[in-house]
Amino acid sequence: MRKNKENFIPYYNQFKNKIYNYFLYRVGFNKPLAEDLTSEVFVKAFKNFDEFDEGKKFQSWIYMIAHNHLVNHYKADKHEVSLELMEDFLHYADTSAEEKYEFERVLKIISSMEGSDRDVLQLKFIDELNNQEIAETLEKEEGAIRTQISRSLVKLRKILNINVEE
Amino acid sequence: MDKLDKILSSMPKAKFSRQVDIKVKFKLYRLIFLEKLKSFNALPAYKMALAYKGLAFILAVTAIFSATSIYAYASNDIIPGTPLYPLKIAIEKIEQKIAITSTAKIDNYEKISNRRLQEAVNLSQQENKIVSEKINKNIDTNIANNQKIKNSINKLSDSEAVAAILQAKKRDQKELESLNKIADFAKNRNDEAVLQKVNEAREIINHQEYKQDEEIKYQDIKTFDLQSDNDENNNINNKNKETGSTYKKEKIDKIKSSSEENLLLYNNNSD
Repeated sequence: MRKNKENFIPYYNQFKNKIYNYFLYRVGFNKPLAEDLTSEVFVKAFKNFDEFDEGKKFQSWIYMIAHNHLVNHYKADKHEVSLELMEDFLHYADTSAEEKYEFERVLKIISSMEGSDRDVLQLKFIDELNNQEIAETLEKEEGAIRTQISRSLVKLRKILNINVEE
Repeated sequence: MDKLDKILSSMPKAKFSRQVDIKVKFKLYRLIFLEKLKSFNALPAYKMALAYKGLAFILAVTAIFSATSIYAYASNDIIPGTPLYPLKIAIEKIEQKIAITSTAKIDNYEKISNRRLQEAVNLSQQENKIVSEKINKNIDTNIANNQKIKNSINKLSDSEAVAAILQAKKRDQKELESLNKIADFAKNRNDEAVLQKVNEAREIINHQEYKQDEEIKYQDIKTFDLQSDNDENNNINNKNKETGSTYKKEKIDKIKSSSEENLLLYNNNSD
């Protein structure tokens, strides 16, 4: 069913920062790249807006598009996370120095974890999606996501504890 | 919530830059516009044809109405009793309301006054006597407007009044000519009612006095700044404002052609 395309604009306004954030954390805090990817995702979403079921959550749908777009991007363009850019990003964050240190430490560890662990942790804590939304984004079962998150947190704690011990 | 959860939950969140935001919105609105254009072009041929026909019809009606209004307004053939006459009067009323300044009002009254007389002349050429009432009504309007012109002239400053009075006097002459024509036609029809009305109008014109007429003649003519339809006169006036001599001579000649008494007064004043 053809939708009124002007209805897309309020959705864009509501989620532009979240999607931008999603990409920023996943492309090594490369701002121009994150901006490009965000722009591409919304244009893609707009073109497929007729397929969106308005009975469901737009958030899940747009994150799914963003996730797939990122996967395609990594296939086309493999790159390494730039720690320098991450440090720049955190430098301008409105937090205390102690917090910035902690953030940096945790982010470095997360970026070195496996893709599936990294994905669920970032979606859960940085993108603030609930388990159902994460499941829809990654096209998995909610139960599986719940289990994945627990396991990933355990791994992260272990690595952090190991670092502390060291 | 343990420390790790707290750290993870309070990670800093970035905002999309305004510049990029505007670029993306522009892209989206452009796509919306293209979609709408597409949907219009996708209309079945007969619907598009209807849409264009409708638009063409509206444009045609507007053009015809505008042309009719202009014709009704400008034409002296549109006289009382013709279908477009009410439209002509309606447009004149609007024009009256637009005229705000005294000079604009005078121009407006003169225009309408002249029109009523021209219509009366055209009506007079008709054979039947039913037109008598209409002719008399037009002449009454003419008389009323002349009075309004006189009142408006009295409100003008002296320098403005000079030009207005000269113009009014020229108009008076033309009106007398029109009235004479109406009288001739009325005589042929033995239309006493119209003849009486024409005589009334002639009397008023012949005894027309503009109040400032006498006062102006006593002024120093070097300060005059006559606005004339005659460009030559204007050039002479401007040229001789410094010397005043040729200008003065022309003015004297003009005044000479009016009353001798006034000329005497002028000469006394200039000594």
